[in-house]
Amino acid sequence: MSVAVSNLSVDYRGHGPDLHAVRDVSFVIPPGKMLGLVGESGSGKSTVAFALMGLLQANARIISGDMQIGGRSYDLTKNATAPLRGHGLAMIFQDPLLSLNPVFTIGAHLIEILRVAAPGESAGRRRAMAEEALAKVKLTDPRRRLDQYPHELSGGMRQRVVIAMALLAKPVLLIADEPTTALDVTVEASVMREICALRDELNCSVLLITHSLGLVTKYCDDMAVLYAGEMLEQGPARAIQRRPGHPYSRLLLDCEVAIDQPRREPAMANSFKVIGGELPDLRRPVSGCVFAARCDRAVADCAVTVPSAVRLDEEGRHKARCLRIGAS
Amino acid sequence: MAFLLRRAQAALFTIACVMLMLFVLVRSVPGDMASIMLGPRATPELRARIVAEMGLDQNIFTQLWLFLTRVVRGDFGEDVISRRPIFDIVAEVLPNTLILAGTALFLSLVFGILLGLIAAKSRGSWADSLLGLLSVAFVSTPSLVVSIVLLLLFSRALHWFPVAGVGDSGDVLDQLAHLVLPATALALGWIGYIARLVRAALLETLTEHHIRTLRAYGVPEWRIAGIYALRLALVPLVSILGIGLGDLIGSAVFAELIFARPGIGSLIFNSIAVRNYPVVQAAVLIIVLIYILANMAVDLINSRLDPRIARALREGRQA
Amino acid sequence: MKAVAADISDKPSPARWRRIWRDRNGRLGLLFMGLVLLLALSGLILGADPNRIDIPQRLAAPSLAHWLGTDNLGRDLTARISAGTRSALTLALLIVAASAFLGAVIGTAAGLFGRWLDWIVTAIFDTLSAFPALILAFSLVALYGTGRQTFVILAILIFLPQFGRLARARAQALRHQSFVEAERLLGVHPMVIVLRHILPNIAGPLIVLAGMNIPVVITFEAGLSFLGLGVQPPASSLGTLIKDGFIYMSESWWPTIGAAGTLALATLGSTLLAETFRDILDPKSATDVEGRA
Repeated sequence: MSVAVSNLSVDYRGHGPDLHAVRDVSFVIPPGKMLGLVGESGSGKSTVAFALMGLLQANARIISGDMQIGGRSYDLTKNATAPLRGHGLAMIFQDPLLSLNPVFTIGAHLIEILRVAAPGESAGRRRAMAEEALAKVKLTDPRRRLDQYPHELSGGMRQRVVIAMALLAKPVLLIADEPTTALDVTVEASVMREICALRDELNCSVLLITHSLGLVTKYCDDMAVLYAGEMLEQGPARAIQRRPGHPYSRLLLDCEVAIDQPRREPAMANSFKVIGGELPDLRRPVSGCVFAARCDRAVADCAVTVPSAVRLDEEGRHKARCLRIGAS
Repeated sequence: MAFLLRRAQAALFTIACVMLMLFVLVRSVPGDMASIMLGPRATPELRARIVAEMGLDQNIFTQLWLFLTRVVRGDFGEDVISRRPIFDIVAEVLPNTLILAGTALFLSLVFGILLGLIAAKSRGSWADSLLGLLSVAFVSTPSLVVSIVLLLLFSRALHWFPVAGVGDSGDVLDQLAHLVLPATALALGWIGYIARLVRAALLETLTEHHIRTLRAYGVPEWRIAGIYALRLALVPLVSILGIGLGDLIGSAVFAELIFARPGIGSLIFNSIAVRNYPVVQAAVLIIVLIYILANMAVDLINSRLDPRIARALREGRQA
Repeated sequence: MKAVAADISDKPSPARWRRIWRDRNGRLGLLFMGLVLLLALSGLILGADPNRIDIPQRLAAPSLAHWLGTDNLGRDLTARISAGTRSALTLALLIVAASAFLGAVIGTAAGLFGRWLDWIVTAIFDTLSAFPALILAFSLVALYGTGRQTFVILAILIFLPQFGRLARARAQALRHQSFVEAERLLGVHPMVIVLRHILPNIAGPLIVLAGMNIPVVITFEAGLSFLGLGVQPPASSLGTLIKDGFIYMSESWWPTIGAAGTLALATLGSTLLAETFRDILDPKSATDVEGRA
């Protein structure tokens, strides 16, 4: 049951012309695999996640896009995936402190999920299933946790609760939107381990949205690099790490630390490599390569010609969109 | 449990302060205590009795002690005119006011929440604007004005509802018919207030992240709005209910006078007119007690609705 | 065009008035209050005596001679309602200003200095707030009697605590701000600190609260006067006018509706105006989540 997304484009309406936040993004995630979607803030990676869920803000509009799940195709422009939420689709959010309702117990959340995911079950059975899920994500004393409120749990524990919710939903595609950004580095590893455990247990596809390349190279099978709403490179995480096809990916890997950190703190520029320049204005039509203005290998043609995908391995899994591939 | 004790302790302290204040207020009036308490009815025998009863010939602390211990026992003395215990006089009319204020509160909640939900659901539309303006008009129009307009319109002109009284004591339907106009007059302001509060609270909660979480897991929209958002939105609503009940009992005097209903408001009013201070004092104290208890109940309900409040108070912080 | 617009909005007060006018509710509020003010001033301009008795003309319907009709003693209702409106507005402004000022002084003092002072002030505020406003008024009136002065004093007492609490909370929060602490350590006189830091910081919210209380005080005054416990005849007040009309309502409904309508217009207008003002001054506290800013 592979998950495939094709030709996703999203616009935001605001004052002035529409902002083309995501343009023609496609990817495939095989079952039991994790795809890491990386990009800096504003690259449109969260927009991709919310577009797949059908949870975009009111001012966003999906221009085109399909999602294939288990052989069936869903038209994203018609919000066709909305009925899949809670069984086919599940999501883990960025800030576990805010993603649980403060006046309901942990148990209430999990049991509510089961009303959607397991409609036939009795109340007692649902409670047992909820407890079981908490045990699976390695929360201590799961029976007591059911009756506790979110504020009584730490951030890492709350994120495990959300993972347990995902576990109960038994999704085909799990989207994790920066699941560790709001957490301590020490908790990061354990939360990621639970997400991997969930993937292995359900044999589902996982889309990991992150700005941390370290996370992707460590946990993901595949990797996709998003820049200014366009997919610049995708392929096996190891392959890209070893031999990045796109100059942007190479620069990202050189920076290694969190991508958007050096931009904010110029003082770090001495010790870390920085990608100079800023994201292009997405309200104007982009000509040529979106990255051309910031690229250290750009030639005159890059600003004019739209690069097409170049295969970088025999199977065609590793692809990058750059005119300079092959050039010295 | 710790929360309950802490809250009860604070309430008791306020009650003590209120009694002390009432005591000090009476003493602060220049002139002879006995004639203040008796008003125009002061005869030598009555004066002597009041002096003995209140210990006016003893020092001020003995007087305070006498006052406090008697009030705690529910003993407000005897009315000099009717020779009946003052407590009985107040207790007799209190139910009328409580029924009136309670009905008004119920109407405010039902229609306030309903209008608030509609406004939040139709946010930005003409219905929302209309409800918004209507709510401000409701909030700002004094219940005195509403009472008079309702009386003129529905009793005098249209004859839909009876003009005066509480209705026959055995006839529930008749009592309800007598209740409709005064309760509506009292409730209107709070309907507007609650509608605005519910609208604002709902709109705010519906943008919160945990609501998005529920959406991501396919929870039906009506369950999200009606259970998960509403419960959070109820917290600020419940917080104002104590004040609401107090205000309704206080403002009940207008509805009671205009619709000629016996009640604690009209009792106070009539007692002020004949300068029967002991009755005023007893009635005021009983209303304040109800008010303080209502506010305590509100805090208890809220601590059940939102466990964070209970924790904050337990830890001694102000919620 | 752009430069001109920027020029105007640089001057704070006209810009603020324009923002009130731009808001639909603010526009309505200005309109209603304008009407109320016009009515309040009309008595002075027309010069009719609100107390001139003309029994043959009693309870007359509105006519050219008496625009709003006459009351049970044939007194001109336009003049009486005008006088009542003037009285309502002046009393409301006076009471709100006095309670806000005293509340600010007492609350700031309690928040800044003294543990025992703070304790006593808080206990007094809590005790006063333990009474529903009207009920507190009843027990004070019962003791101290009625009259304009007594009424003003008891109203100040009733409305003071909320201003005091606000000032106290703000002052307490500011006391621990680093810039205040620094000046205190430098030996700057407390009065200077109060004038330089505390007052400017609490003025805004206090003004907003004061504005929101204007309709409340108008309602309160009318209510007590209706009960005969506020402003006393022959001085006219909207409350006494409503009461007089109410007594003769079976003969003529006009007098009571005229006064009640004016009262409603004044409270609605001042509420709309105060809320718009609040939203402009302090958009964060706006009840409307959409945020009008």
